[in-house]
Amino acid sequence: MLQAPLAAIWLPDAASKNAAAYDPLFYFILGVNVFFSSLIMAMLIFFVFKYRHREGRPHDPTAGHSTALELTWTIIPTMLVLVIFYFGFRGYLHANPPQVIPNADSVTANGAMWNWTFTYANNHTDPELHLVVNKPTNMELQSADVIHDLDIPAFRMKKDVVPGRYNKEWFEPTVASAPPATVLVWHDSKPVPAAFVADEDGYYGVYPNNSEFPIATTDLVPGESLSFEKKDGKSVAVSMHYGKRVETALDFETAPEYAWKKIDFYDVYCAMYCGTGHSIMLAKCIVQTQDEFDRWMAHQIVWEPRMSYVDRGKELAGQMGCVTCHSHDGAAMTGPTWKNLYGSTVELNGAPSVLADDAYIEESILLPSKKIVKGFEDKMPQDFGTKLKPNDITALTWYMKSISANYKGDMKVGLKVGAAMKAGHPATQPTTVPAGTPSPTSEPPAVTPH
Amino acid sequence: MSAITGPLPHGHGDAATGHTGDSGKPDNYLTHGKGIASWIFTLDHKRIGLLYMGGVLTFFAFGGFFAVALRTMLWSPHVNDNSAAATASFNLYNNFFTLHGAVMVFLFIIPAVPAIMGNFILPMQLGAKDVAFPRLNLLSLWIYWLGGLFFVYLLFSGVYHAYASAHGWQHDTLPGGFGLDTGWTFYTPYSSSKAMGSVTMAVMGVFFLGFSSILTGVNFIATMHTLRPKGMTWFRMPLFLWALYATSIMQILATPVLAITLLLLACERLVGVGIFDPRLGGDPVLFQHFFWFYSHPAVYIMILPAMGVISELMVTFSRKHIFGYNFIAMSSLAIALVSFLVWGHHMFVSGQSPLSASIFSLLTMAVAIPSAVKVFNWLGTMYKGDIRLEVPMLYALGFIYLFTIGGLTGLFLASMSTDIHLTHTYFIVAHFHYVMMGSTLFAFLGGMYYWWPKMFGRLAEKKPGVIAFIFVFVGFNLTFFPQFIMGARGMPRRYAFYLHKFEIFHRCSTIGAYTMATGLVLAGINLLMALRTGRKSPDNPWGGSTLEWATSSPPPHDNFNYTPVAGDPYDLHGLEYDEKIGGWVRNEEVAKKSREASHHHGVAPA
Repeated sequence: MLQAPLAAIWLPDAASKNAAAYDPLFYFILGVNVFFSSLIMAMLIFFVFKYRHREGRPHDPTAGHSTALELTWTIIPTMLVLVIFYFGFRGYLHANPPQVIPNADSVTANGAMWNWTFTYANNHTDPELHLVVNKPTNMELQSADVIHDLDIPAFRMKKDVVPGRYNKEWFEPTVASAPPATVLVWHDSKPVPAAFVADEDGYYGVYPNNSEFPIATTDLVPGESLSFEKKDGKSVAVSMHYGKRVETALDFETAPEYAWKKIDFYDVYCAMYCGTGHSIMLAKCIVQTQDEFDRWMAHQIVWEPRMSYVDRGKELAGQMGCVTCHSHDGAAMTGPTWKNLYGSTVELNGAPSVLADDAYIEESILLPSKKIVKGFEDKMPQDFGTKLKPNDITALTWYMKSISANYKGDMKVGLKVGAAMKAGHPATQPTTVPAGTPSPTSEPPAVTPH
Repeated sequence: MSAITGPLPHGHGDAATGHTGDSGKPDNYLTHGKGIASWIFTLDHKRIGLLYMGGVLTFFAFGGFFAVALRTMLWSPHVNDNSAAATASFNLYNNFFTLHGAVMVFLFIIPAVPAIMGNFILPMQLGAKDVAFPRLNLLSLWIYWLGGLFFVYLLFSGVYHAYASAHGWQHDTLPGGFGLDTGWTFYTPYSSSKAMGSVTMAVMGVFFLGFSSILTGVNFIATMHTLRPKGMTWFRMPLFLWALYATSIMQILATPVLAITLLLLACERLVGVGIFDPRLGGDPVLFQHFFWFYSHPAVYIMILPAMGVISELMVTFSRKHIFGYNFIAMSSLAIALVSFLVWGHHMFVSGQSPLSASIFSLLTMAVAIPSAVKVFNWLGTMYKGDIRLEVPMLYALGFIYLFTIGGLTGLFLASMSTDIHLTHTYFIVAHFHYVMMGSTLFAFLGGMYYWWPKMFGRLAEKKPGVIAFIFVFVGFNLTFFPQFIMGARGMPRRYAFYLHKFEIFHRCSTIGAYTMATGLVLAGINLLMALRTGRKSPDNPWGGSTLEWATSSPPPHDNFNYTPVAGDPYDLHGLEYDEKIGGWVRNEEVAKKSREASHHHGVAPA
């Protein structure tokens, strides 16, 4: 079979029903390409050699003509392109079926400058796309600002995410992601192991040994490292990323052992140019069994019980993509920094200055175009009102307070562990909720702008 | 294959016009009139062609420089860490690729062949003194220069701003220099609501450039209708002229649509009229329809003149009459017509209905047939020829091969399902560079080497020309072939950052870009050196049969010192190389015998 070695070069491994339908036509056209380009190359070289100028060789400068030949080289390409058209049309209908795929999960993909979030049927929004293997998913595509394009090469699927339109795509993954593979383990009672150095791109998470869910994740490129360290009596998991250190505190009271594991996933790209952060508008698609998916969803929809408002706010800033544009170290990026923002006086474009208080923060998240900070442009996505619950905004505000020297108030409420959870979700949250059913305790939708 | 024989073309000879050999007249168009004013206000199509050449090549150098700059940035995958430094470097990259694309499309590749070679060669192939409207011609040149300088200033000041920001310099923004990061396609609503500040002004620049293109088109059509010489019926026009004719029609019909679209875009940005931005009640995909209604025909505005050049080169260097003249002439018109009806193939994944997508797909497939048959016709011309591997012929052969790959890979993209996975990736980048650059640029360089002696009366040295060609050819393939694989493996285009698994492809590509740039610089030096040290060119250094070779090199101010009479444009009978003058002259006696020998029909010289 010619396809096996070719596939290794030309296409990523097929991982969906679409891909299985797609690849044969791709290889057929590739065959046509290879055949005709070789034929023409061979003829060029042969003619140049055979009919090159030589003294004394007679030749006739009159035009050649052959009706039979001209018909042949018109009819054969015509038939070929018609065949290709036909199968292309069939494949396109397969990828864009006129009717909705039945018995499918449904997920909404939200594209915003510059991150993806995915809203599941139970209204949970997550930066990762989790799909169930061998089960179709209908995906609705929404954009908060400009045109994006949700592209998953392993599924051979791609569709523009156009603001103001409800574009759809569907896929049925056929190959589940491999379970997380351990690369580094540390048991409380053992010496700290040597660091792990990545030799290819990868997505890694720190897993307590009694959980199948990571407490922190990171992307690595070759040469970057993961490790465990003991620092001032505290234990931390460390990832070194572009020369920067990210630490995650470990708690050996809840788990005696922690591991860095490599997480298998499919690349999700934004394929439509959308500005500064276009090339980092990446997401991960993880394909699981129904059981795994249900456990994952159950884990997602309850807050970590040990979390405070500040921690939850920090987590949300990452999950919702706030950190793509807002730094917490004072650097100006696409948006203003959050460091020392809360409690400061903010200069605006074409409006009097305002004090950055709770009301201002909430308005800036829900209606970002209303007040534009001096020196910045109106670039923030408009759809956070639909993605964040009111309590999330409180958590984000507490996180901003925690990194602002201008906030002179008390941090007690913000730092109190468990307070945020109590305020947001009753502690009686069930630990397993089947996916696809709305969470019984989910908040009413937040105020939507406009 | 022995079936390739045919009717005898109608011929004519230079000798019949009384003009043979080296004229060596002291006065030519370059020496006719001195001083800067004689150039700025010239009405001579040849001087206008040269002034276009100055602009087009300058802008080509800019565009090329930024291509190399962005390939250099892509040597390693950048930093992906949300830091201010990463943001600044992303912005810089986005400015680079926008500048590269916009300059290459609007300032180089659209005007390259028509404005330089069209202006210089078209009236001469017609045996005319000038184009139909010389003053209009001068106006379109001025518009081109002014629009071009304005456009380049804007882009440059933006790049300066982005570069200084990326390197943390304290700097004042140049007036208007906010940068342009929309890509050359100006897609809404990014361009109308989110992009950097220079969109409106850049759009005005493109708007003006469009007028230059329209005026040139009008002029060429009028010239071909009114100034053909005695004996030149429509089907005795050289194929380069047919190609220019088809191109001009597209320039006149399509460019106004771009102008209107860009005006609407400016309206939306300036006064908030909701046309494309959904927040104002507009439709962003409408912009794509408008834009590609121009820009798809524009792709053929870029390639058709190049195909015209190749037809000329194939005849001259194969020493053989073109195979399938009528087909090539008509296919230019057919391609021009169908090209207006295929724009939707840029939008297969935009949410377009499968019905309209299928119609666009089918029509796109229809363009493949005349393109394929043209390639076979050129091969048919080489068959049983007497091939001379001069430098222009090398570029013509390079063209055929690269155009074949570019055209065949188009099948992946014209077919609706395979397009889904490949569109918006590097596969597209590779495909259109094979067609636009591999084909048009190679034809352009071939044409430059071919007509250079006619323009300046000097021949470039062959050996350095061949070496430069090898660098360009190898560099080109090294740059763009890996991009096919990278794209099929999922690498999206316009990415400042990329995943490590694509690094090997990007590195090949960057090495290729440097190789190609080296080749282009060598070719440039080779041509410029010819002006000083090159061998003096005879009237007809290559043995061309069209009318421009029947006058001196460089031609006199009025092109011809006699009234030329035209016959079959590709009558090569009796053209013989004369060692004494180092060029070709027609020997009427041999021509007569040859015509009689080649076919029993016989034919009388014009």
